[in-house]
Amino acid sequence: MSIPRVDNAPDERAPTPALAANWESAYRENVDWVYRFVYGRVGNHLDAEDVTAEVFMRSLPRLRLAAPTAQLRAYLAMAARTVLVEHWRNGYDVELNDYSLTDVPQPQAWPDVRSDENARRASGLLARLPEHYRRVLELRFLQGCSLRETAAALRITIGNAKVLQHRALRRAAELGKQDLA
Amino acid sequence: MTDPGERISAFVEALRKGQRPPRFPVESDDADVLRAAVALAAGRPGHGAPSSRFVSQLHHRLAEASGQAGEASSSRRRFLGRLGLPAVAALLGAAAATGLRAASDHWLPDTDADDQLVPAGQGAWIPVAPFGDLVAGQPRQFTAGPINAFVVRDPQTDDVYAVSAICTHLGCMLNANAAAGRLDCPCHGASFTLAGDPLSPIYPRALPRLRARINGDTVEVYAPTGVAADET
Repeated sequence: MSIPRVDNAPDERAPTPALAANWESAYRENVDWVYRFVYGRVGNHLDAEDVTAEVFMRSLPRLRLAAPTAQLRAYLAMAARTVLVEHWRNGYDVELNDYSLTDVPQPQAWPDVRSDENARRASGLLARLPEHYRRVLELRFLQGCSLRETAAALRITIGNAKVLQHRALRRAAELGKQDLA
Repeated sequence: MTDPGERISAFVEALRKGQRPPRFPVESDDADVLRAAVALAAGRPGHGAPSSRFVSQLHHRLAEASGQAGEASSSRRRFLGRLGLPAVAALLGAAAATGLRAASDHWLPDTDADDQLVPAGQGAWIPVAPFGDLVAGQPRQFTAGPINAFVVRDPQTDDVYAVSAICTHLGCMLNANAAAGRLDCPCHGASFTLAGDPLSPIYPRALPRLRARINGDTVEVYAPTGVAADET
């Protein structure tokens, strides 16, 4: 699916029944899914708040235009993608241009599609890993165990738990390259 | 800690603890590892929703920005006018000391580079340094009552200007990085030009300015009435 060209949409201001009433309702309707989308790509709330705030501050003029709902969502997703690319460029000196916009929720699926999206991505990634890799990553990430607790649960040394985590993450990175966008 | 493996471990550990992970340059392969870690950390059930505090704070920021459209340059003055100088001054001082995250979005209004921290008529010119002591392009930090700021001698024009030394992100004290010509925040990596313009689009609010001038051999800034300057 190609990137939506919302900037040049000719019917931007055309009245339709799905117009957002004002920027505040547009914000309220979209902040949850934008935040979850961003959180899934930064993994912590402090960065998710900064990136989400940036997305909405930049999109404020668009929020005030009373655009059709679907167009506004596509616009916000594009803004989120842009700020995420900048986040990785500024923090990690790396260019990641593959934050997919293909999973912007369709109006008929809204708003349920988003709520467990991040959990679905994570479990999809884990499901493709060998058992010993999956186990260490489940303990560390989904159950929030420390390295010491992880080592105890797996009956290995802390050093080995660290090595195992590292290898498991590398494998997950290889497998997940496509669907981490 | 230069070993990439150690850095990735620190990144993972920060995610696990719900902290902001450290920043460091990575190669493309390692970036994929970080993203796998991020996707897994974000997959923890029940953790993906924004807090109501954040949602209402951002609403507040948007409302401020929305109300300011077309008259942005006067926004800060109006904000200061509403609060009164002593209140703002106290808040700025408190923020410098603590960098409290929760408070910051409320008391740090959006600023424009040409906006002034101390409005005309509500302060006085006070001396901060002999002009001859200032090295062009090397920020000199000073405090004036509640205000903590840098004064800079411009290498091109030989004029002087002053900007707040408090990061507009979360209120941390900025460090002068004269070699790079920047003001750097030690907390989360924000940085600004010596004139206070933001260098990172992630932290986009410019530093508030103070008016500064050369009076004879002395550099003066326009500070709240009744304070004296100290170099720090």
